Amino acid sequence: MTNEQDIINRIEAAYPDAVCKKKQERRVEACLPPDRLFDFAGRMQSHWNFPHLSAISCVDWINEGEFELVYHFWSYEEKILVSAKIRIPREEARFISITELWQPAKFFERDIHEMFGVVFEGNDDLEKYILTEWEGPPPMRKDFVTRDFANRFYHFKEYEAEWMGPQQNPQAADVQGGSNE
Amino acid sequence: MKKWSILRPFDSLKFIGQKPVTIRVPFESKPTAERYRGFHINDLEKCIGCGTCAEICDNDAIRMVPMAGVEKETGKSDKRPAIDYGRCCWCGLCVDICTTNSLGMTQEYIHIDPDVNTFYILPDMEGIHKTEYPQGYTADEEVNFLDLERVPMKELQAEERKDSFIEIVKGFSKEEAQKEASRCVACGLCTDTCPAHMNIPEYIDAVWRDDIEEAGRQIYKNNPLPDVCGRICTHNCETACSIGNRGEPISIRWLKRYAMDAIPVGDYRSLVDQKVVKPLGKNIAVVGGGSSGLSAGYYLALMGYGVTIYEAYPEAGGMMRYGIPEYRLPYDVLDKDIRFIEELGVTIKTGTRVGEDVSLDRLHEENDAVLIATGFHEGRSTRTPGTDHENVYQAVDLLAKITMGEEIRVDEKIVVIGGGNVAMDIARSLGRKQMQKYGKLDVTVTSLESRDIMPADEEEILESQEEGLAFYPGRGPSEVRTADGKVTGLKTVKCTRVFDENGRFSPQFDESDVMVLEGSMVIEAIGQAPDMAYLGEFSEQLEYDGRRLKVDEYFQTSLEWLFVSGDIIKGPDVINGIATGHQAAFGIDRYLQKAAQDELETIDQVMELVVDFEERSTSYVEKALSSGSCGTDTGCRRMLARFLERKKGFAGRIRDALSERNLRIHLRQELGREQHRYFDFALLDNLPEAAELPDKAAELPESAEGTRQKGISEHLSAGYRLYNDLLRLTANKELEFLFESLRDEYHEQLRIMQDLLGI
Amino acid sequence: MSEKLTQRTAWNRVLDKLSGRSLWMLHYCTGCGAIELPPTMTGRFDMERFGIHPMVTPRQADILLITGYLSVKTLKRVILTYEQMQSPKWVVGFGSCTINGGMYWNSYATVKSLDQYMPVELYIAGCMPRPEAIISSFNELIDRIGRGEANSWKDYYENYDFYRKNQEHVFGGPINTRTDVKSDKETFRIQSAGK
Repeated sequence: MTNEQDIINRIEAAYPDAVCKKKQERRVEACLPPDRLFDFAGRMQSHWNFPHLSAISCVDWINEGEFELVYHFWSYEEKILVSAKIRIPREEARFISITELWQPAKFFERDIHEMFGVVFEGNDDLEKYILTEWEGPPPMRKDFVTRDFANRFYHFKEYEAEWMGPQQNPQAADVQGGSNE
Repeated sequence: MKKWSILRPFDSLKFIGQKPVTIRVPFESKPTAERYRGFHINDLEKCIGCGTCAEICDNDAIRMVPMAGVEKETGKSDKRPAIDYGRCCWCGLCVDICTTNSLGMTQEYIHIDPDVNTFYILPDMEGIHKTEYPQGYTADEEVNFLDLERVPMKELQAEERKDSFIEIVKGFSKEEAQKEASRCVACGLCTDTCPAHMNIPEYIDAVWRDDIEEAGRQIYKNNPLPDVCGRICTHNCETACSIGNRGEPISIRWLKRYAMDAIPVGDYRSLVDQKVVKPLGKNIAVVGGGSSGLSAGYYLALMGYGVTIYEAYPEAGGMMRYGIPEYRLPYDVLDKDIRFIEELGVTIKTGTRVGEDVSLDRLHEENDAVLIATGFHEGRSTRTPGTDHENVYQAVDLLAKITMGEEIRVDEKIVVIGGGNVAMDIARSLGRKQMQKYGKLDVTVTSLESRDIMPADEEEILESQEEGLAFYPGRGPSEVRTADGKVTGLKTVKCTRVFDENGRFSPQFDESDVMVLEGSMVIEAIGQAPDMAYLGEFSEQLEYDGRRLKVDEYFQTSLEWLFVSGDIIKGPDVINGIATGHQAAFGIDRYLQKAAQDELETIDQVMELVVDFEERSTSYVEKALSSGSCGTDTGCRRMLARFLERKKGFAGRIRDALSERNLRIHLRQELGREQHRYFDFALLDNLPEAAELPDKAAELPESAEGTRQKGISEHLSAGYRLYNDLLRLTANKELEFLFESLRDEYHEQLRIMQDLLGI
Repeated sequence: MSEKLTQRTAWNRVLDKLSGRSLWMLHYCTGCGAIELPPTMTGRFDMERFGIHPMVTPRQADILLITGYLSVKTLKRVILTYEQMQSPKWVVGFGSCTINGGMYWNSYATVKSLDQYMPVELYIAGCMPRPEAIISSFNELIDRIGRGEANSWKDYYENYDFYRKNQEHVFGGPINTRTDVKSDKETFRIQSAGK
């Protein structure tokens, strides 16, 4: 059985531009340039005995203008999770699909496309997934302010309780409260 | 496993007669847990309307609503929380954080109604259905979000301090200050209480964020003597602090001191965003270089006047220097503030006593206006037999001599008469002198007031006791005993009452209870009076209101060139001196400048126009809604309805906020600055136009639906611009809130409208 | 409204009393509140004491219990279900979410006020309401039906345009529920009303 350091050494030997570190027990993080990811995933699957793609997740680094895609690979034998991180530009985000390697990646990519608007080239099914009624921008992007949207789009109650005088409208009084975002 | 038997099914017969497991709601009910989180109750008497519950609520379920019959008072706002059960998730955070423990929850949890309006309540002690239920969840002492204990302030111990004049309080370190600042809930009740209306939550927040420069900026907005106030302010704000209801109030004063100590004096200029406007060519003489005179000088200099402060003592600072001992307010700290005011262009002529070295008449001739800020420097005598002896002294005289470094008589046994802060100051100063001279301390303090009503600050009395001063409270002096021409002691009798039923000063004594306090030196420290001898011939031309000079709301006396501020008008304390100095500066400006006067009127006009705009806008939107300007477009209709709903009452609230005088003065100051900075201030031109927009839009033909919708959108954008402009002006939290929410409201509706129109 | 329904004859009174004693409930358990229903239905609180029992199909159900928040997606299904139910039918809004958004008040995906999309007969306060509250609300509902006051379902026919417009607003376009609400309306002889 190999330990985390062996895997780090292995990755760094094959990808000199990768930055690896051990996050904690049985968790390894590898930051890669985007163009190496497909190659890396293929090697993880076929050479390094990481047959399971646990998930693909996405992080919106709005200040840096980048999306971070995180691919989680799991090895049943080593019992180690390797998270490969790549950064792609936020504007018109596109990235290559890994469905050729892992069929299940289809759903992860479809989900990220729906929530963040990243287009995966090579994935032929980027239809709506969960938000079938959704027309607006990808909602998990940080520039989408969900509270503003909800205020604009939905109807909120305007109470007319007995104890309220003419001046005591809840919305008009809504200056002190409601600073929670 | 039981044996098989044909009779097995009959086993269940044994349950006959047993109590069923079913809880037969509604005929019986299961008791809730003892600390069940049911519907809210709120003790409206205890509640201070600080709004912390609304602030913490993550669901925006709590709104602070103005409540009929509740008035603003010290440490209390006029709002109370209302709870929306269409939002609440009964997490109980509001109960945990409540600063007064007034909010609680009952064990009642069933409310079923077809009418949604019954789900929005203003809780009182009777609960949602006005039926009595046992108390459920209450704030837990173990899970306390509020940090009720102060960060202790490091001080010199009594033994270390009682023989030297080194400052007692050491000040916070950065970590301590941040920890103390983190206790603040930013309710803003302190701002209302502070005579100078300082932006307290703002600078505490800045300290917490470690943005010292911003803290200094916020402090300097309303206080030109922050270093001094950071040490010796009477801190009314801490009395109003909402945390003080359950624990110890935030050390607001020490936080101010921390912020100011952290900024070197050279950087003050950069953080004062109140630029000195161009010189106006007019001169003002200020008599007295104390807190009020310096404050007025600071603001007058910023307005562009030439200011000369005449100070009788060798150095400026007034009572702050010559009344307060060095161990409470070191002179270099005071110098720091004064030097900055001098840097702004204020001339301070020290050692010049008006009335002796220069006459008031001459000041009047040489200057355009004169401000009197002389304060209370004459000690009052008890008029007890024997006080004319040369070894009976006045506290203020001695304190001034100590400051000036003059040799004073210090005996081994000293008696001090008085229970106020001045008495503590002189007693402790003399104690220190005794320690230096004889190595032991023997000062006796006696006062008419008993221990619980002694007017001195509690901490002062405690510190004096720690230092070893002897206290004989509740005794009145009846005679200074002398033998062979030397003072031997003070005869005192028991004082049975100080004030009569109406609260007037009317002491009664029990002549049989006599006690002689030994001492070869007696100090009188029972109060001070102003010395207005310098008024000379003018004193007859002035009008009086009782003992005090009569002034109008601008601090102008009946002689129009003569203004009065400071202790002789209000107080006596530093912060009132600063506040009155500030306001008198505006009074002078108003008197000297027709333009300034116009500006103040402009403020009124601007605000009238704003209120007018709000009212017209409301009626316009109402009309647009009822006349069907939006036609069949539900999006537009809904937008208008919601907009109308939200802006109801705003006009009235703006008007209320403006009724406070101080606010108008601040506004005027800001407006004046803006005008000098940007000469064509767009707001004033825009405003009448903006106000007319609703009318213009209303005149558009009924038939042209699209045009009318554009009219609405134009109106909204005018509203947005108007409040955006106004926001630059406001230096006041309340107005800022109002304007900001209105601006955002206009903006949001404008965006929706533009979406609808497809612009 | 037709005279038949407004004037309650003695026969109507008897019918109302009886129809309140046999309510079948379709519980739409998408929100967190579903967990409160098992104890309500089973021996501990036993709602069958009142003749209420869960029903698996909308066509046979009388009560639609909305247990908590509705996302836009589930709202569509709820409307399909609701329109399939035979009148008279009653919607019970359960918990804060159905009143004013509850703790999901700032979410982009959940609708805030249920009564914008279908008429609600009763609301239950709570987050979540306990089984006692659910049982009490059913009792209240039975009383209201018995008194002939539970007429909120008629509102859907009277103000069909209003509800449909709101529904289409959140779905971003017309929806086809495959239920002929207009002919149902004629069956009950209900006139439209403006809202």
